[in-house]
Amino acid sequence: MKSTVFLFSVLFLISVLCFPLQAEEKAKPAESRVIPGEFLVLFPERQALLAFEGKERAAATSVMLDMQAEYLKVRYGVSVENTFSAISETTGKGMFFVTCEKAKESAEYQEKLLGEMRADPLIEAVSPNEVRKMISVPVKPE
Amino acid sequence: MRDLRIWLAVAVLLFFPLPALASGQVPVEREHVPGEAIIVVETGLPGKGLSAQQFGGMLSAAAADIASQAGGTSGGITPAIASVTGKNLVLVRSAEKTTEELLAELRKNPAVQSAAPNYRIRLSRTPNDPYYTGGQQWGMTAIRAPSAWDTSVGSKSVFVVVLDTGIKYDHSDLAANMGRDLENNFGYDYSNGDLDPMDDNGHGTHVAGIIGAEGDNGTGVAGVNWNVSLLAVKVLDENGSGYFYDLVSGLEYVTDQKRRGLNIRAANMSLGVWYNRSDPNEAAAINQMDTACRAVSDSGVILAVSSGNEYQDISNPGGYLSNPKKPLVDYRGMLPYPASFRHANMITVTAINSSYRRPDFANYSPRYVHLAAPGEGIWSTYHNGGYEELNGTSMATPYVAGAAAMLAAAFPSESAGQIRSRILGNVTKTSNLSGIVASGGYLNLDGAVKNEQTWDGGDGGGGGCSAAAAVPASLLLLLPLGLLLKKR
Repeated sequence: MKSTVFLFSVLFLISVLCFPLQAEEKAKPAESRVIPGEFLVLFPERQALLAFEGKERAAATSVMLDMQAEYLKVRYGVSVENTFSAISETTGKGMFFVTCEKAKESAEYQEKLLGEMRADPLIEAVSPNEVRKMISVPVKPE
Repeated sequence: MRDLRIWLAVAVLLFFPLPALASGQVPVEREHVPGEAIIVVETGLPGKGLSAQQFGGMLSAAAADIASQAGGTSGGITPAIASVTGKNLVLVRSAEKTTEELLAELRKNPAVQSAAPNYRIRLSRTPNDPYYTGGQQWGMTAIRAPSAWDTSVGSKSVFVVVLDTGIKYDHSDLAANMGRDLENNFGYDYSNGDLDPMDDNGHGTHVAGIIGAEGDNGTGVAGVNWNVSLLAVKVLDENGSGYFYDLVSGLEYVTDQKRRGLNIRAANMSLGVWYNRSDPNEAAAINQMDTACRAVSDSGVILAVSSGNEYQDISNPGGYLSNPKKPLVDYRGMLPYPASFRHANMITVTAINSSYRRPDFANYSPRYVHLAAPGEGIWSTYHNGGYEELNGTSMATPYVAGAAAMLAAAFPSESAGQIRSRILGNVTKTSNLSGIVASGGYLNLDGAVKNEQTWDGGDGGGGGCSAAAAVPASLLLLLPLGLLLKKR
């Protein structure tokens, strides 16, 4: 009996050490918590925008961001809370912080909305807003 | 003992200053007194029966004669040195002649063994801050800050943004170096959504002190910059946690202020998260953080980021038990961000201890981490108004951000790329860091000021295939061929 328990323990340890779990099952390096109904949306780079400099680029960026914000509102019913205009102007990629009341209340809708926006060829990346521990202070080794 | 001291003095006077100063790497060290020269005259040792007074008189007469032949006067002799070495060092002055004319005349005289300008020799600037004079700030010596401080101690016209837990902006050692942004604020608090980026954790204040605690003010610690303009962008709360949105907003703040004309030359991010690209949410977050960091970099700001404290080789992260502090975390398939981004003006920093070795906790990688800096036993300002000793790559990173700011003050017309090359091209190389970081060394601020080496690290592309990686790959390709030939 003892040897069976020992064998199972060894096999379990080997499986834990040698076969990594799926991403969603893994322990996270730091505590994290998704904020329901809050998303960051990134549009692909517009090369044409980067051809402009100075005030012309600022004006072109403004027009691009207005159109992209309108698209998000109309197509997905989200509220555009903030526009990262300096990042957008520098990189040519429109970037927004949006919220959705319905997604705040329903985890199912949160996933549905995320899936739909991710499938949109006009959008490059969408991530839910989350809070994470980002610093650590190690103790000096003795 | 006295003889030894004299010989040391002679050695320093005769051999060290002249060639060192003649090579003239740093202009300030070449200053000399106009119309004055130091000459060496062979005198022989004083004979027996000759009193010190008589020997001195003989030296004075010979010196006056030589000086007068060159159109000058003798301003002083060194009988003690001459009594041991047989060589008299003489100061010659001329009111009419330039230094060059005086030197030319003196060198014509066969009795003169050598003649050199009377150089001004300055000791490296030493701040009077008690933690520095008490020897606790070993990191400043390690990065050769004292020599660099002869050239610059920073400038209030240079702004550095600290993206962290805030800054205790009224700390007695920081208040004078707090800057004001284009809206006349100390920065912004994205954690609480207000204009008061006061630190409630301590981490950000510690980082800020390393970059720019006021130097030579007789208080606490000296920063890499004695003078600078610090801006606090609070993106982390009192626990060191932050919203992804706040982090991106902080990077937007830096880009926006820079684009609108504020002279931000460096930003410090002593923070990071491990993400897994196979997770769609995390893959999207990587993409967005990458875009935001690229914006800061492309706008001409050097972005110094920490490699993290998870005991990992970032190029090949370990599985369970690889981090003794978090044994149940499997890092395989993940990378730390922003440490792993490789944009043109980004620098990723790991830590060294006072033995110039990487502490076990400090993440490393010859692919993603550029250099090391002091990160163990680091004293700096703290949010309680005092000072604290902390460890981590978080502490190493502000040495580099501070170096970037100091170099920007010394060489204001240089681009972020040029300053980054100064930093990475002039590290102090050590076998301890060979194969551990891309540059193979740790920060050398004095070397960066003198800029005797150039950086050809060839990074900044993100992907790419390095020569180092290509060699083993080609060997693998050749291996079957070799076996085949051996069989035949």
